[in-house]
Amino acid sequence: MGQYIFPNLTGYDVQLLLKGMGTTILITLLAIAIGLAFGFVIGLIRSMRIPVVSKLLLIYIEPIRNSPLVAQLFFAYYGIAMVTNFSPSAFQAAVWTLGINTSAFAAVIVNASIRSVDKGQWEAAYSLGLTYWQTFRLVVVQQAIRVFIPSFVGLCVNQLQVSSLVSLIGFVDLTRVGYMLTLRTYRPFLIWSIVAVLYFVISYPISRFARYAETRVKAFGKIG
Amino acid sequence: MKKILLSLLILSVLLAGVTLGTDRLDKILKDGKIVVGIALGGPPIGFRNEKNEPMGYDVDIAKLLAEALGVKLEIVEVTGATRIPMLMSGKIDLVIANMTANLERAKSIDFTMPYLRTGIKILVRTGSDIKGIEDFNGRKVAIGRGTTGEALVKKMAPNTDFVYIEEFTNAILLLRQNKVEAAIEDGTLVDYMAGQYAEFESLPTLYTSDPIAIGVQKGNPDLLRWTDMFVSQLISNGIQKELYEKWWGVEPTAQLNYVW
Amino acid sequence: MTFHFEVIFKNLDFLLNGLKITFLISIFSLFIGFFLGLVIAFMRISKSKLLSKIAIAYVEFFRNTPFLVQLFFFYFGLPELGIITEPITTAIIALGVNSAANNSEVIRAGIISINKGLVEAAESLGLTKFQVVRLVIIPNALRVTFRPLGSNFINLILTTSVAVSITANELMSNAMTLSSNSFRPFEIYLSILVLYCILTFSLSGIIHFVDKKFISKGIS
Repeated sequence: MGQYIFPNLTGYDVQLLLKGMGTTILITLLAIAIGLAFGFVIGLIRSMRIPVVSKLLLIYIEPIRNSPLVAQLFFAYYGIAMVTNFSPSAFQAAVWTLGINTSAFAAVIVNASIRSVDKGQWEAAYSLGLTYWQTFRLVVVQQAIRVFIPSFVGLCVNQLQVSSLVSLIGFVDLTRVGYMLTLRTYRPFLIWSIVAVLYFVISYPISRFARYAETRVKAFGKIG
Repeated sequence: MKKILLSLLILSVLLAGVTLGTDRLDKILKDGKIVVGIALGGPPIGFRNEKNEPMGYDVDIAKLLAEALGVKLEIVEVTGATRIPMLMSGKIDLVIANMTANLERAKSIDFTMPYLRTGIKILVRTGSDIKGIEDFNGRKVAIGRGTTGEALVKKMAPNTDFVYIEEFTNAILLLRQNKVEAAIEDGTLVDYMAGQYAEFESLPTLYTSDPIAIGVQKGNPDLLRWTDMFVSQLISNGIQKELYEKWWGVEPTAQLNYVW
Repeated sequence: MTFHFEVIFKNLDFLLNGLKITFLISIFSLFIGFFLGLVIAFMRISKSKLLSKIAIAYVEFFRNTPFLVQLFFFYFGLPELGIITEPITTAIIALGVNSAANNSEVIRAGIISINKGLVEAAESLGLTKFQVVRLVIIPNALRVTFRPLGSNFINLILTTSVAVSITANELMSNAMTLSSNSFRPFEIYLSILVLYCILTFSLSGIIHFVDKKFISKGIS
């Protein structure tokens, strides 16, 4: 009980860090899934420019994109429970807040990707007698997706970084593990360096993929 | 006709009384588990060991309580800022988090009889020239949001440079790096840290004599009554004293009273 | 359920004090972020392979690690090397250094987008390399980059809220303190979400206006 300062990292600490990495990856993936699901629907509706609804959806998108994730997390975890019967666990608050946050940004990307497809494509398809959905499915999606993927993957990388903020509501992700280790070992320089490297190791490959996808988009653009 | 209506009325009132009587205690016994909010930021009252398991005086009390009730214990980590909101919103059944019972808080939640008595103490680096709260003015002091210590310092030394922390262990890092000159917290936490590290010492003055009690959501008299009895028997059986000696290595300074 | 928003109004000056600190941090890190971003951008496109590689490493590091971790590293890690750190200054430097990475990419894109013909024309007029940079490249690049840089600045303001984790008394921190003392997290956190939005929208509007009126005219 009295052994509170471990100058050296034990094998157990390594285990904790790996577990933290796993947790961070898990919540990021879950948030991305939620973000893609909601974001796709919202972005799609926005791109169709349905009279009232498209503008109303801005009430969802804009406040989320324009307020800090820290405040959103605290609101979700502490605020909602005070006025409703539902009190989320740290995990639920973390995943859903991150997910909804992602969805607002994803919606913008989806909308922009769909709009990026040349109007002529739509017109040509219609003149061939295709319906909106047929056009969308057979013609637009392929082209929109090439624009969508680099931006969306970039968003995923960003959300991976901001997922660290869930440690501030006590959720045990990689950053929280790092914090716990600094209290035990009193070596913040070492611990935060290690944590940074671990995030980098997860994030960099995805980042590179986004860049690669971007060059492929440009290449395709030249042909098409 | 009137007789039938009257008896129906009485019957419905009785039934309403029965169905409205959903005390948290019933829910806990039905679910077979009790959710207790414990602060794990400060040994020896609540902390995590190398295996990340919750340990400490409060944790032991929670374990004994769950055992006495015959249910499973689920621990939810809380902080000074979150323990009352979480209790009030029903996220947790009880708060056993080194919480001082005072009249202000009692407006929002119910308290059992005290399972510990302590006071606010100051932690400084050994050899510091700070001798009391009066010396805080103009200097940086680590304080927990919404704690008794915060209210005390605001009253006695309003020109203190408040450095807000979430858990007491934050203060250790800040003190170590000279980012604050003192930390003010519950005597049990402060004494423990001072005992662990030669570089810190606790100042002798005990501000306030605070009853540390278990928090219960308002409107649950059954749960409150049962928990009261539990605490009382803990004291009268001498178990509370044993627990204190286990975690602090000395006899408790304040003698607690018991009713049952 | 009843709401108690009056707790906000009674403590408005406390919250606004936090807002002042938020502004302070934002303005200073804006400057650091911009000028450092400029430097990194030029390093990136310079002919020196070494400078270019350093710039790339810089950008990759700051974009692939969380800001919170960078902040903890600066605030708690540097003192181990003997550097004394203070919450607000550290927040400013960390935020500035981080946003420089983002800004440099935007500026680099802006520089690359400049028509080569413009640069050649300027050089053929006899302007020195430095004059070309000062009079042709930077102003034209700025036209393209003004809005994205503005958007980065707005992000920066929102990110100041992370400084609560290193005990800086900015808006988020004061909101948390108020919430702990009043037991009204719903009203308080909702209100500061709205407050941040108002801030962001106003700034967005200003940037849009300035862009239309002053930046987006002239050669490009």
